[in-house]
Amino acid sequence: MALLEVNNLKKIYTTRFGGQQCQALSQVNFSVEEGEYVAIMGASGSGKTTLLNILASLDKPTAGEVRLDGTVLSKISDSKISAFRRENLGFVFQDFNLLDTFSIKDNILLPLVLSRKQYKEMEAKLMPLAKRLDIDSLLEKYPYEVSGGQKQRTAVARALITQPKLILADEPTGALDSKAAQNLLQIFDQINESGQTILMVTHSTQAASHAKRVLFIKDGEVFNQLYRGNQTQEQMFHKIVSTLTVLSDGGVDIG
Amino acid sequence: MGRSFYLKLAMTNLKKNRNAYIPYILGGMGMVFTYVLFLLISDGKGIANVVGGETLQMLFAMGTFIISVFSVIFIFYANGFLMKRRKKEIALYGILGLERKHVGIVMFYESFLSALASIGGGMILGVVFGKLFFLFLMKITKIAEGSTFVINSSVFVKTFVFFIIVYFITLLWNQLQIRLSKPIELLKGEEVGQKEKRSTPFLAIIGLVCLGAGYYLALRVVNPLAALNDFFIAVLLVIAGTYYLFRAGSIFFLKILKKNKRYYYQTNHFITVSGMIHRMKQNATGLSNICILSTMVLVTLSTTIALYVGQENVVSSRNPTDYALKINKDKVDSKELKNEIENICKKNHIEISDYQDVLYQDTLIDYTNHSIMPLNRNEIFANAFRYYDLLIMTQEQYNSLLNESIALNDDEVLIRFGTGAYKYESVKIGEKTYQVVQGSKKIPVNFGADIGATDAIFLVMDTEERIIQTINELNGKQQRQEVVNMDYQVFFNASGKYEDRIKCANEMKKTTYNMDSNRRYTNIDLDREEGYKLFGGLVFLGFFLGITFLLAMVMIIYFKQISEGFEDRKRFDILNKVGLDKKDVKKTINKQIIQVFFLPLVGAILHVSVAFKMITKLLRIFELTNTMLVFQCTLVTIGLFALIYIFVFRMTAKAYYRIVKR
Repeated sequence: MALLEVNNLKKIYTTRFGGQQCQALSQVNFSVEEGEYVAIMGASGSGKTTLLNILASLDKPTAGEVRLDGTVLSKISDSKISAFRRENLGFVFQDFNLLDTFSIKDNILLPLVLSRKQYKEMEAKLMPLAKRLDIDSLLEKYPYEVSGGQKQRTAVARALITQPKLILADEPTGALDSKAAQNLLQIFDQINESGQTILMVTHSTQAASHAKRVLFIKDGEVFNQLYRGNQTQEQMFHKIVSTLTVLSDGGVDIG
Repeated sequence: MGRSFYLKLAMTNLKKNRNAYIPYILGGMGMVFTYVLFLLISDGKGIANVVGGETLQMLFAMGTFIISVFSVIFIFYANGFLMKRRKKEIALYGILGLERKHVGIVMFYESFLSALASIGGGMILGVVFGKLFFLFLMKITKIAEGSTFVINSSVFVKTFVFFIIVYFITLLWNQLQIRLSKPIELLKGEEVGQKEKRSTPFLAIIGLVCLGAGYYLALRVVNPLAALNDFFIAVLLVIAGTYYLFRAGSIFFLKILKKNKRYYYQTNHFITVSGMIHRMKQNATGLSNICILSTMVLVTLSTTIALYVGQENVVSSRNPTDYALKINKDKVDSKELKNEIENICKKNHIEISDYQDVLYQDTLIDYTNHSIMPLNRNEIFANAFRYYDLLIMTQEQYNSLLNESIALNDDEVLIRFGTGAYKYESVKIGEKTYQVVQGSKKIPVNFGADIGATDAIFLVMDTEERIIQTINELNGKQQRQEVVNMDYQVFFNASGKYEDRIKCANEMKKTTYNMDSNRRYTNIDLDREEGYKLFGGLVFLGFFLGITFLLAMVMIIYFKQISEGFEDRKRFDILNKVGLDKKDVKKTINKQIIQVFFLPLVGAILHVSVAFKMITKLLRIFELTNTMLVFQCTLVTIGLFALIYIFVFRMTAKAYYRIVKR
């Protein structure tokens, strides 16, 4: 059984005063095996963000279901959804979403504190992770005192510290300069190699070329997918570019 | 682009920012209204001719001054809040291609419109409700005749000029800020100021020392005149202490909590403690402002209310007997005086009781280390706690008063404190030392007016000559007229119809003046009439100032909640994404706001409780001696204030949640 199964996912937004309906996702099917590294690409308005929100259990589908490790997300009760999210999912956002009120260390520990873990346990997990992400010297600083790349690595640490089944990354390189972006992608490669499942939504061909598989979404459907197999990252990059060209029908900007 | 474009843009801006501008304008209106009202009372001709009207006008002139200072501070403060919030928007105009000059024009229209609304609104309120409040004032001061509410146009001109200048200066200040900053800095406007303010343990210790010293002064106070002296120092110390403690002390305390890992890394403590540190860093100044304003409101209201409610207590403790008269022995004979008094009373249908006349002299002296010295006028406040009222009578008078038969030598005196026995064997009076004969009985003489503020020392000497000599020596440096003879002190009570009593008291006043123009005369009924004006005026003033302070405080709380709301919305989102329940998010944020906003209230109540002793002493200057009454008034004021505070908090919390939930 796959770690994540997405079956016939459909999402229709209705404007507040009835009437207008807008279909964000029409029919999405795919699955992610444990240890995979999947990138989802698509143009603006293709439904990427909607998909991610549903996968993150922040939004509910109109029809269809998402199973994470056999559990149907939409069937988890409201009171348990936060705990479920905390224990099974890790998030990395484009704009980092760190809390200014917490030091880097406390930002990383936040999910563990919310899960009411012992402090000893937290500390044992913190240092190795911080060293791996090269932020061990920044732990006492505050988010507004460090660079964007450092912020994003902090966010990655926060996502990893609960050892989630799945990491969901939403345009993780979007707010970073090319060097910091490259650095982050290498970190993603590393954590994936150590067995972590990653699902990343991105605009960036560069970012997507690091994944083992790339899904293309268009008009609310999975349009195509590419496997990296044994190709190098560069070969993958060119393959993605040519697919995007086909996908865009020669007109739509794809970034 | 036409002129109307800028005007239109300004109007749209005001409308869009209405949740900030409406309170700003309402606050301004309140200030203008109070200012107009006070000016109308102090400046107008409506009460100029009324008995006691002058006292009232003076009181309200003072009130006008306080309000004008306060309005300036308030308008600048509120304006600062507005600007901080709108910087981003203003920067956007710059980026969209509006020149600074054009932004300046838009801002001019905005300021102009909001200033006009505040000033105009306040003046209209003044015209509409002015008369109502005027009548209310006349009612509590019991001014029955001769007063009319006159709307004086010069008052409105004055108000307009004053406030337009204040608003104009804020506009200039805003323009300057825009000119001096780059658009990119403006864009981050709301985030600037979040930078950590230095908070060292050192500052916390300074705060603690200041507050401790202020509290010590307040608790140490023994005597009303000393209280007056220490009051201002204590107030300054407490204000400084409050600022430092809110700023540094709170963070210091929270950081200690944070250092305790076991405590800190628990779900509720984790978010609350770090959130509180963040908030205290940003809000310490605002919170200490609220705390100090609250204290001011509480003190102003409780004292003035106590004075008003306790008027009867004041009047009766100022006048232990209905009439008190001090008149020179040379001018009139004891019998003659009594006859005259009885005649006047009879004519006015007043019955006399408890008639007492005593021959003595009294003066204010400095007592320390068993020695009675002349006052040093240069240090009248510094040594105030050593001042006593000295009352000297002959042994002849003493014996006849108490049915005793003491006989003093020329180096002996009988001495007794008003509050108890004198415990030493000798006493130095001026340059001479006397042996002390203990007086066992309380001396049944009422001082009348002087007993309240200072304690009394009773002294009995052998001859009149010695008394006069001693008095002159003790008065020596005060450049008073030389005393040449003993004074009669006459006390009696009177009963009859109120109008008769007033008539009688007024006639007595005239007659005794004709006997001796230096006589001292007090009467309970005349005193009461004067008291109504003074205390009625005071309570009215206190009430209005209290309301104005309250208004300012409400506004600060409101602006705080709004700006926090915008910030918390982001945090609310992130916490939710990371896996905190929506319910829990609301709960923790709620808990924080409650803690942050009730801290000033707790601080204010603490300040007032410590200041209570000092306040009661100060009220003794007005001869309000009923501590229980003051206590009750303070308690009721605190209770009402807390209710209003909670109400305000609820209302603004609603505005806050609306922002956060969006």
